[in-house]
Formats: sequence, C-alpha cells, structure tokens
Amino acid sequence: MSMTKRHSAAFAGFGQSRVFRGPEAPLGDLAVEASLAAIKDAGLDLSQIDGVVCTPDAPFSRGDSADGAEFVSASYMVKALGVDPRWTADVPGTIANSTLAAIRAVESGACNYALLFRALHNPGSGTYGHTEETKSGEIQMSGTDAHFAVEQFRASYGLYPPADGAALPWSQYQAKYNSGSREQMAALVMQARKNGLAYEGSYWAQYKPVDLTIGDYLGARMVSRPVCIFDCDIPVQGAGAFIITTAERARDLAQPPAYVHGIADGVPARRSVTVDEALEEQLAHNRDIGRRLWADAGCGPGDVSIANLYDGFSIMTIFWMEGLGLCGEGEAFDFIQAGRISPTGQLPINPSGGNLGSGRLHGINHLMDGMLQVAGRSGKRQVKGADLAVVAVGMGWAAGAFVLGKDPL
Amino acid sequence: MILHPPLPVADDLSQAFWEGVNERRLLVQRCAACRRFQFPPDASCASCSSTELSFEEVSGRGAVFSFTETVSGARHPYFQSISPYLVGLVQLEEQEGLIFASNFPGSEYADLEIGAPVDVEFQEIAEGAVIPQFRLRTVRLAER
Ligand SMILES: [Zn+2]
Repeated sequence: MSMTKRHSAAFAGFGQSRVFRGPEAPLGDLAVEASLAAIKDAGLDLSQIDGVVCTPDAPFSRGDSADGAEFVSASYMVKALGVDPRWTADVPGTIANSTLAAIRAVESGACNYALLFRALHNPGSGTYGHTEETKSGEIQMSGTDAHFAVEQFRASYGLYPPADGAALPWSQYQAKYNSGSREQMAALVMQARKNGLAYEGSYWAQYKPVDLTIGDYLGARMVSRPVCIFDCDIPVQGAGAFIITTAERARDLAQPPAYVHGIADGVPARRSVTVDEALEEQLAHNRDIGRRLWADAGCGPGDVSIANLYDGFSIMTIFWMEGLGLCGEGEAFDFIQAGRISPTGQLPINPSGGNLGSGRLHGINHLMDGMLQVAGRSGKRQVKGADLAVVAVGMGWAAGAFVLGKDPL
Repeated sequence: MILHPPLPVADDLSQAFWEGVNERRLLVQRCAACRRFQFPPDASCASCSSTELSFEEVSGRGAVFSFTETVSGARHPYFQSISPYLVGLVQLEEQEGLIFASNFPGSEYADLEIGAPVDVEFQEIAEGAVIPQFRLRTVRLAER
C-alpha cells in the first residue's frame, strides 16, 4: 500500500426503487423513491444532503423527452426533495461518470453528503433511435450531429450498435484466440441469472424467478450472431441511489461504509475510428483504465476478492476481465467455467446478478453489490471474505472503474 | 412506399468521398505530411495533426475484419424486411485501421472468415444513391 492517502471518500447508503418492465410508474417517482431509501439507509436527514449528482442521459432519446418522465436530472431531484445543496451536477455518460464526480466532490469539499442517483427509462416498446421515417415516407437518419457523422458510413449497411457492437468484437475474439463459443459463454450468463434470482431488487427475481438452463441459452433467439437474446440485458424502468461522503463522516452513519481505494476514468478514443466496436480498441481502453485504477488503488488484480463487471452485453464482462488483468489475455472464456465465478468460486463475478441477472439499470447493480459486499451487508448473497471489490461500469469514455474496500485507507 | 436502406448524406468532410463512390471510385483521405490514410475523413490528420489532406484512390482490396449475421432486432424497416442479413467490417490492405462497413454480397454466414480477402464493388441502394460494398474474393472467382 502506498504511503500517500489518495482517497478519503466512502459509500454510505444505498436505495433502489421498484423495477418495472415498462413505464408502469413515473420515472421521477422511482428516482425519488430510490433517493429517499438511500438517505434513510445512511441514517441522514434531508437537510444534510448538500450535494446532488446524477447521469440523466436517457438511453431512449427521442428529442422530446421530459424531465421526470423519460429522464431525471439533478435539478428535478432538488425540487422534488426540497433540499438545499451547495453542489449539483448532471454528468453525461453512465452512472460511472457521475459516481466519479460524486467521489471527487466530497474529497474536494464541494459537499459533505452527495446524493448520487440514476434513473433508467424504458418506454416498453420502441428502440434506441437512429432512424425514422419522415412524413414523405423517405427513410432518413436522425440523431445528434455526432451520431450523424458516423451513421453515414454504417446505417446504410444495417450496422447498428449496440447489438452489432457486441457481436463484431466477439467474432474477432473467436478468431484471434480460438475461444469464445456460445457453449463457453453459457456459463457466465447462467451464473448471472442464478445470482440475480438471489437479489430481491432484480427484475428476474420479481417477475420471472426461474433459472436459465443450458438448453434455454443455446436454443435462444439469435440477435446478431453469436449474440443471442440472453446475452443482452433486459430493459427495465427503475432507479438506484447512493450516498457518497467522506470516510470520516461515513464512520458515524447508520451502516458500515465501503471505502474508496481507487478510481479511474474512461476517456475518449485518441483517434477517430470508423466504428467504436473493434476488439483491440475495447481491450486497449479497458487495459488503460486497469493500469490507472491499480496504480491509484495501490493494489492489483490478484488482491480483490470479488468483481462487479459491466454486462449490458455478456461479452463486455469478458473484455473487462481481461482488460483489468483478472485473468490472462485470451483466457476469460476458460476462466468463467467450472464455477470459478460463482459466489463461492475463486473470483465471484456480479454476485447480485449484474445487468444480465437483474435488468438494465446500467451499473447500479454493480456499484451496489461492490459496496454492500465489502461492507458485509449482502445478507444471503454475502461472499465470504469479500473485503476488496473491483467495480467496472460502462465502456469507452462513458466508463469508470473503482476499487472499494472494507477498511479505510 | 419502396423500402430501401437509410441513405448516406454527405457532410463537408465526406463530400469528396461520396462523389468518388458515385463515380465507382474508392477515395480515401491521405495526409501530405505523414502520408497516412484515414477514414472517415476528418479536418486534420489523426496521426500528425496536419491539415494538408487530400483524397486518393485506393485499391479496394482488403480483408474481413469482423462480421455478424443480424437475425432479429434490426430497427430499420428495410433491414427488418431482409433479415437475416450479413453485416461486418473490412480493413483495406493499404493500412491498418482503414475500416469500412460491408454486407458481403453473395456470401453466406458460414462462408465468412476473419482475414478472408475481399474486393470493393459499388451498390446502388436507391436511385442515385451508391455505397461501397466488399465481396469475398472466393465468391467473386466462383461466379466468373
Ligand atoms: Zn499526418
């Protein structure tokens, strides 16, 4: 461990809203529900919340979305709770980006008790919008200018992220390492479902509490080969919230905290590329985050007892495993076999199910599990000896990684 | 209504590229200072930041870089109507990182293999709208 104390922040409270498949409850209400639960979990009063931060980006952006309906901003939350913060921020990207901001805010003194939340909307039908039909019947591309610049080179081919963005690098991986069959991937996806069923906040636990069998997985509807429907997380509507404060303040709150040992930011690709789906770019980016994370945390991949690795698509977990050095290059598909990633295995991965086992709450599950495990608060999901956790959420610039510990630095 | 894929719409940077494609020529931006190619076109060189860039015709020869078959989940009505369909990327032989999308016309999923050689051809996807496509060389030879 380094002599310099790099971090002084801690996770001190967590709350999750009810989860629905579609917009059965207003998103703003769910965000408030999660936030109040997190504040209560930490044993705080509303009057003590002096920072509010979130990532409001809606995955289903339509250009006509409304605060509190399709997304929820920090200012919505400030008004809804009637709090009087001295720091607020809407951080683009994923919850990884707003978590990094919250940690830095309390470490810099910008606020003492940051309420960090994320609300995910699912319209119940519809798509991530890239194309639309105009009134004249002409089919055109839509979206932001940045989208547009890339779309002109891929939309005409029916090449659409995100599913193709998972399938293409997976095809590269199979060719490069002669590994990565669907039979191998089944181990990860089945374990995720099993783990999710043990988490009461999981979509699957609440609505479809059945294990995924090897037959279910191998016989599943294909999306973009080799990606099948179970390699994709299920879109849901729900919210999660955390209280981030200083380690010193956290010690006096209601629950044992999870101490921040290290953090690292995702950064944009240095060069412009046609597509952001290439295997080498994804792995290089994750390795770069890994290098910075372990240097910041003063430990290494061999020191962590559990890993929460983003799994919006199953292949993303593989890329995080290798990028963070949790296994060797080209070895992740072998590593995930034989129960090694189960809660009692050599390296439990996503013990609360991640996105695949709990629904698409974009990293809330990963941060929650890492935090509660090291704090010894995971109940029936508690992994024995889980005193140091690595959490990696998102991809590209919309990513971040964290090392959380049972002990303060 | 006749279904067709979304049509590419040129911007200032890509104008010359799409004009070339309409003339059945594959033009790629090249840096006068460091001689690197780059695609998609940009205002400056991604390698050396020079703004001395011009378009140069390339061979159109390359190799399969990655591929998939989209079976379900296509979001555009045209691609829904033709699913399943092949889609992927090719890398040109001129330089690493020169990557284009392709539908590999004439191929089946089982034919595709990363590294397999491909050649450019041009496809009119709607009246006056042309895009580059890349065909497996083995398919091309077999069809002769
Ligand atoms: Zn240059």
